[in-house]
This record gives sequence, C-alpha cells and structure tokens, in this order.
Amino acid sequence: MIDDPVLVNDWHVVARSDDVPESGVAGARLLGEDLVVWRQGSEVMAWKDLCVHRGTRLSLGQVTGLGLECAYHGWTYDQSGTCVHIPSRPQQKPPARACATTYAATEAHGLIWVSLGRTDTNPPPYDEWDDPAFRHVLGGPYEIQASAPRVIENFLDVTHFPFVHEGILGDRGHAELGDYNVDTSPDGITASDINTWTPNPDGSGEAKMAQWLYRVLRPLTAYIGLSIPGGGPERYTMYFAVTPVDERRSVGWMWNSMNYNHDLSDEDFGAYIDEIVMQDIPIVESQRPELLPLDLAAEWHVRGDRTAVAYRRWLKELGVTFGTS
Amino acid sequence: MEITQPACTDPVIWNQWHVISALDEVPAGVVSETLLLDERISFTTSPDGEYRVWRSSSRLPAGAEIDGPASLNGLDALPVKPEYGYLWTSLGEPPDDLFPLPEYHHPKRRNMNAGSVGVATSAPRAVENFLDLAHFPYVHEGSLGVLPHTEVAEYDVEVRDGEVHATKCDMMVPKVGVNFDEPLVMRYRYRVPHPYCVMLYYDSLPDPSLEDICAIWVQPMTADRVRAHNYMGVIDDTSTNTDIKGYQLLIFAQDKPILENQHPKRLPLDPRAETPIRADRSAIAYRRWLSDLGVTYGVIPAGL
Repeated sequence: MIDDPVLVNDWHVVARSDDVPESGVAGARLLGEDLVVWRQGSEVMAWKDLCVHRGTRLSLGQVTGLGLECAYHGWTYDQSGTCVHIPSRPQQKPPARACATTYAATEAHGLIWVSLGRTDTNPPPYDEWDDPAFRHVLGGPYEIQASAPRVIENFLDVTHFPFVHEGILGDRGHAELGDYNVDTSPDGITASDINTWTPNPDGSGEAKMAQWLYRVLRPLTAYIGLSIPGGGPERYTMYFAVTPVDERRSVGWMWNSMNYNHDLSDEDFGAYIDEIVMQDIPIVESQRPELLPLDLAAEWHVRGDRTAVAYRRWLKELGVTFGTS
Repeated sequence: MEITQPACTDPVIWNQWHVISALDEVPAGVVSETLLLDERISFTTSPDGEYRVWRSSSRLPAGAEIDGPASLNGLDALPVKPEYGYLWTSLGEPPDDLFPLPEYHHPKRRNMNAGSVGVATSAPRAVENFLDLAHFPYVHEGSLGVLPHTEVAEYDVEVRDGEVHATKCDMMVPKVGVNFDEPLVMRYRYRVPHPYCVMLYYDSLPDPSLEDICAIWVQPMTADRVRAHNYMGVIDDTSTNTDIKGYQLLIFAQDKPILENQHPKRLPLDPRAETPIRADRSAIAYRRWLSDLGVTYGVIPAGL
C-alpha cells in the first residue's frame, strides 16, 4: 500500500454505476492497486484484483448465486470476501486464509467510489445533483497520462483560457485577469469573483461575461459554478473528480450540469465538454516535472495563479505525497 | 569491448537444453531470430543441411540470406540438438543427453508440431497450469472438463529418477468420441523431466495398450515471457494433423488469458506465498522440486 494516508483514506471514483450492473464485474486501478468491482443485489464491492489461490485476476470471473467466482478454478467468495466454495474439494470448508482483500465501496452522483483505507465521511457532495431543474452530462472518463494533482490544478486555472481554449473560453484580446478572492479552510479552498470575457462559456455559442466560482472540495475533487454577472438563476456547474491511478496516470470524471440552455442536446453538450478537455490533455501531459511541486519556489507564480498557489499550499499542509514532490 | 552481465544468473537453467523452434519451422537459407534467457539467438539450416544456432550478430540480422557456408563462419556458435522434432540449444554447458522419451520412436506414433504460442508469463507458471486439473471445468468447460463435475479426486505424486511424476489423475470429461453419450472419467499421468517441460500421457482411444502424449516444451524468452511449443505424439489413424493441432491451439487459447493475468508472473516457491490445497498436489511438488534444484530464474525463491 502506498504511503499517503490522505489519499488512501479518501474516496476515489473507479466506475460509473451503470458500468457495473447487477451481477456485473469490472476491473479498475487506484493508487497503484488493481481492483475488482462487482455488484450483487443492492451491494457493490471493491476488492484487490487477486485470487489468493494462484494469483489470478478476480475481474476475469463472474457473479453466481454464492458470490464472485474466480475464472481459473471456480473459487467463490461471498460479499464479505470470505471464500465459501472450492469446487475441486466441494465437501471441505475452505481454509481460513482463503479470503479476498476487501476495500470500502460506495455510490454517489451516479459513480462508484472506493477507499483503500478508512473513511468516516461520504464522497464530497454535489448540491446540483438532486436539483430537478438541472440536467447532468458526464464528461469522460478521460484517461490522462499525468499526475492527478496536475490535472486538478489545470481545472482550477483560468489564465490559460485564451490560449488553450481560444475562441471558446477566452480570446487573446481579453487575456488580462483582474484580481479575485481566495479563501482556504481545513475543508477546502474557495476562489470567487473571477470574471472572464468568454466567447462560448456554455455551449450556446453566445459570448458572455462569465463569473466563476471554484471550490476545491477534496485534494482530488473540485467544483466550478459558472453564472452570468447580473443574470438570473442560470447556472452551469461542474463537479470534477480525478482518480489517481498511478503517480503519473489519472482518470477524470466530470459532471456538467445546467438549469438552462435546454435547446442544447445532451450530445452537443457532451461534444462541447470533450472539445475543451481534449485541448487541456496534451498540455497537462506535457508538464514537467510530472509530479506537482509543492515547494512554491520550484516554479514561477504570478497573481493570476492564486488558486493554484493555495491548492499547492493546502496539499502540503494535508501531507499529500502521491503525485506530488 | 564492454562485457554485459547476463540477465540469467541461474546456473541450473543456464546449463539446460531449451527448445527454440520446431524443426519443421527452421528456415533454410535465411536467418531466424529469437530470445532465450534474455539473450538474442539466431538459427538457420546451413547450406550443408546442418542446424546452426549462434548468439545473434548484427552481421546476420533476422531475415538475412545465407549465401554460402562461409557466411556462417566466425559466429559465436551455440550447442545444437535436434530431438523429438524440435531444435534444442543451450547458452551454457548442457548435459550430453536430453531427458529420455522412448515412446517417441514407436512405429504407430504420429509425432507432430502442434503449434508454438507466445505467452506473457514465466515458464514455471505455464508448466504449473499444464499440470493443473481443477481448472478443466472452468477454463476448458465442454472440452477437457464439464460442470458440475468439479471435484478433483486424490492422486499420487512422487519425485522419481529426478523427475516429478503425477499418476492416477482422474477427471470427468464430456463425451469422448461419438460412441459415448455421457461424461466419463479420463485417467491422466504427468511427467516433469525438465524445469520448463511437462508431458501428459493418457490411454489412446484406438489402442488403449498405448498412450497418447501431449506436451509443452516452454522456451524462456525472458523470466516473464515465453514461447510454449506444443508437441503431440498420438496413436491415431483418422484425425488429420490440422485437426489435432487446431484443437490443441483452441485449448491453449483458453489458458492464455488466465496465464497472462496471474500475479506475480514469476512462480512463488515459498509454500506460504499462495494458498495451495490438496487438489494442487502436483503444483506443490513442482514448486518444491524447483526449490530443491536451486532454480531462481522465472520464480520468486522461497524466503524472499
């Protein structure tokens, strides 16, 4: 197990709930651990992807009435991870050692989350999820060859809009960013009063002055609330969870939610999100060093990077080591 | 000249014979290349009809044509043994003889190359899988095994004449041949005469006084990657070589994804490392035998 209690004891997304239907089995990877995720009845389980018999991946197996059956010799494990059936010796009780390594699994916002350690909390909340006025489109999962903290920091960054997302989120004529507020508490970071002239902030194709609210909810989960200054209740929110697969490999899961702009089909909305993310990915994948430097002297910062600076300070205070240096 | 340390520091494996090709796949007049114990090896049939094996040289890359006998001068030659239909070589100092297989030359036996398959696993993992019976009703459901007949009865295992032998291995198989309507019990015996070679013997259907042989000679390309050479020697007048080879490869193709998804790739020899049970007596004996021989390549030695 990697030595980062902050991330080990946190929730991370491994799949969409729909990816693992009743009696479904899927593989995943988190913090360097291969996992098997499976569902039986109302329960979803996430275990180390290894059968103790001969080291076969349990994710090759299938769900039977008794539980998860290994594809190699049919060893079957019930929901608690106990081996309850060894087909080559069906009359004998399986040895006590025969059990799976189990982890905590839960579901929230249509996603399956896993913790490799202990958590007494739930995955971070997404207020708009239960609001019937909002529709939700999932961007991703996006596979990114970069450390998860680098991916989150890019999500928090605004001054790259006129360059990476030129013509969509920004343009070169409006590259200057005014001052904004950043607050850090033990529960996370909030950055507010960020205003940009945005050619197409919401897929509608209409240029607007956009006001951005950023929240970092957990080291690897962040939120954006986008509204039009002086506008009404129209809001576009994003909930972005980045899974640290390995130190230099991540998967991004991004809920995009709107309570207006209903003429935009889900498909077109998805295409709009994908276009933006696909512009970010090669940039983030090219960043060196790959591990996010938490020593503020290691890279240059300007006033427009206040959120990123706060994020790095916060990770350092918390003691996050996986994906950072 | 820089001397590089060989990746294989295991004298037991280094000084063994290893298969690198079926004889009927050794090209004539053209250089073929492969990997053995992390070393690049080249081979061909020379213009005078002899098999030649050597440490690969940039002078004669894979696919190069052999113009005449002189092309093969000055190469770092390796020992050559064509045996049992296969080309064996060694990087070290092998014994004079390969393990015996007297049944090979029986006049009624049809010996054949039943295909060579690359697998991303260690040689011992491939051998142990070949010895295993309990997976038949799962991995080979409908061919070598049938649900719900999953129980593996006790069988005998011993080390005799320096080889591992498993006998009286009985498994329920689906219909065998057109005359049987129900599953019946097949009796197998296994022999491991070499750390990376394993043979299966079973009574021939047309002539039960003789046995058919099915074997894999596993070529260790690296500690984690092999080519498994399937040999079959059958007493059978009716099936074509193509049919027999096709069936063998079908079975092997079912094992391949399992083998490639086992972790760790190298076979752990420590008896506490994985969870063997009594049905795994061959595996337990094989692992202990490898430990006793002092094999370290392709395994995780006990106590590590």
